[in-house]
Amino acid sequence: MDSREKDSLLRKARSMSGKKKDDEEKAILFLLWGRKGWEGYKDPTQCGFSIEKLFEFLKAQKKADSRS
Amino acid sequence: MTSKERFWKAVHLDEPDRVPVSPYIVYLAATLAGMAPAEFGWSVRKSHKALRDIYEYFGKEIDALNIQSMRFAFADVFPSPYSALYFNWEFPPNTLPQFVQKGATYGPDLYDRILEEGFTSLILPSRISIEEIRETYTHQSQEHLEWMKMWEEEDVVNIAGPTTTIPSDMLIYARGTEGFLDMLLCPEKLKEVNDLMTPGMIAVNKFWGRMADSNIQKISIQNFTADLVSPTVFEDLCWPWMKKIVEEFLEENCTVILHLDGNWTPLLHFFEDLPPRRIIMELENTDMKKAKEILGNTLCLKGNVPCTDLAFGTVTQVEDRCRELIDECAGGGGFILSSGCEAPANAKLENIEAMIHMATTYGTY
Repeated sequence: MDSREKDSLLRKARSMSGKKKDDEEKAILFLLWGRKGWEGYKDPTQCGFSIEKLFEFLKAQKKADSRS
Repeated sequence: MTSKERFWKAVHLDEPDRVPVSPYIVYLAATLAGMAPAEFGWSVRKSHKALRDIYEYFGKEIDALNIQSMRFAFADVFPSPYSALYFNWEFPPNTLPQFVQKGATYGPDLYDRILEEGFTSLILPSRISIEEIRETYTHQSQEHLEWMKMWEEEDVVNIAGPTTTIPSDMLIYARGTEGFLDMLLCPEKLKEVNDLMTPGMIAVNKFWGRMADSNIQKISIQNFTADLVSPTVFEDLCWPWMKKIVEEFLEENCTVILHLDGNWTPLLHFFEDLPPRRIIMELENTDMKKAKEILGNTLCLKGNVPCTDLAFGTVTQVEDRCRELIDECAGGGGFILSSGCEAPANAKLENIEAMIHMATTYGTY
């Protein structure tokens, strides 16, 4: 195993570690929806982030956009 | 020595067999392929095909390329200056995509709004269809992965990677020129946004790094160059968060590429204390001799044949500039010969050829 493969494994392992992952998800949620959060996440500090959730948000926003 | 060995030797501040060469090629590949820029930018298949063609055109002697499709930047669901969801990008049929900045779109209350509602409050879904975004993340991503398998068989380093900036740099794009007044009138707001939003910017890039299995992380700061702000303003409103981003990526064992357009000469000393042999600094209008003097023991310099020379200069002019750069920067390793930012779409192919020729002949150690 060369050093790049080791680095890759290490990175993946870190990505799986619970607390770090939670912190990163919370940071992304705050970046996207700030203090107010988005109602799609009942509690933005508790729910995980996913691309699908972001698509849901975009769809909801697009509907609101077309109504205004 | 292979291109990959040569490139990483240079990054680790060792002398390879010759200076690695890596003109920053994006839309020049479209020109060579006879494609409209928007066509190149939006089609993953066409952009890979065009990059492949230009790589072969230059005899596979380019050591590192940005192997990517601009589509992933334009359709980015996360906040980024390149995302057509967050900012006004226009895609004229026969010329380069245009970033359209309009003053007074947002007032100085923007910073509070971002803290309250997040960066998604900048989104206008009418700018780009959700179907186009979804297509990007499904079929186009799959196509990209297929092409990457082909690229992995080539002896070329892929220096494309997720790109980030500090939050206030991005908000200055939204504020337009008024953003520079904010630096003087409400600096504490910029700091607050940077403090609270930088962890999210870092996390997004780490997310993309894991998705793409990329060991490279890029940071591109555009509005805090010495052309636009003083070193005092840079130190107060940019450097603490820029440094934090660099350090976080290094902690993840990534190689960091600092893409620094404009003039960074008066700011070079800030980077002196960063961990050595882990960072590539892509420079455009910075004094390379000074950069080598100040940072030669810390990081690998990449640059900076002027775009104007590549587009309008003669082969002799390009050769002279390459010779000068090699003389000033190549000693002891830690130098990659490149264009200053992107080799323009109208660069003369013989000038790119001259750059490669100088690296392979005059650039030997």
